[in-house]
Amino acid sequence: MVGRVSIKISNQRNSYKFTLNRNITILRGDSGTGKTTLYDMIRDYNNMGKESGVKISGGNIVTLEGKNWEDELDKLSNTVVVIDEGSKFVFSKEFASKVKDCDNYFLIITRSYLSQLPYSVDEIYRIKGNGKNKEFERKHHNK
Amino acid sequence: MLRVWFGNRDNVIYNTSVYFRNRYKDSWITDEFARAAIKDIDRSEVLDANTIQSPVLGQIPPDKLSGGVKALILMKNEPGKTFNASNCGDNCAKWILKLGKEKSFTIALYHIMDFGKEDFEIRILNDRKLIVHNMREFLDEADKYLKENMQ
Repeated sequence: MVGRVSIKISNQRNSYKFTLNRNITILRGDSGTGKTTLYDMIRDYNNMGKESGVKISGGNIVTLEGKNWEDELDKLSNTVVVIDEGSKFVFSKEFASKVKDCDNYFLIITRSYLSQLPYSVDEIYRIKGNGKNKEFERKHHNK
Repeated sequence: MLRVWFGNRDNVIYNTSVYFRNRYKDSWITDEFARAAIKDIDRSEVLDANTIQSPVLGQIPPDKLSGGVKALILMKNEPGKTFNASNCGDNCAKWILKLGKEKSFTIALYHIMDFGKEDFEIRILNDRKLIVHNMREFLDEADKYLKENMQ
């Protein structure tokens, strides 16, 4: 993938709009803001497509988790890969190497210190909005 | 007292949401601590052990609570285990400190949690003799041990 990717994901109760500017984007922030709800909606869409009731526009987007993450990741190209905070493999050198060598974008939900990954402080976001409509907001504002 | 380990360590329950889904008990959801934390952090009301009223998601089961609330409930009810507190946002910090005044337990941190401006007591297990009393002291230790243990 190259350049900006704008994604919209919605169901009856939640609508998320966000733009990814680089290959690694970090999503963090307070608990209870809807990070895992976003992840679950994408996973439902991956498993069941439109039958899930989730609507996605803007590009291919998938969730990545579990023991077979390396095999799953090897099959992906030009895709936004979303990883939730329970996935410990994001710390590994193997993951950092695969991120470097592929053309996917990564949206990683984590507060953890990821020393192996070259992400920009400008690409750390939190979710803004308490009602149905939610957007990403930069965590560190440029002055 | 609250004890903190910075970085990777054996026997840490890293994915607290999966552990919670498989181990939580009804009584954990309906006790006073859980009701108050769920109201504060998720802005939701516990209706009964199986149902929580969320302003955004409608009626949800306990496993759909936020990752932070689930981790807090685990810390309270299984203090002998070490849970990953980096699944908790800064809005959970005051609740972790409150629990630390009531019982001794250990959390693992993979990031620098903001415990606020008030004084506190936290034992840093990476340096077993050390107790920190405020965010300035906490930051120094977090920076040192996260860099050491997360490479």
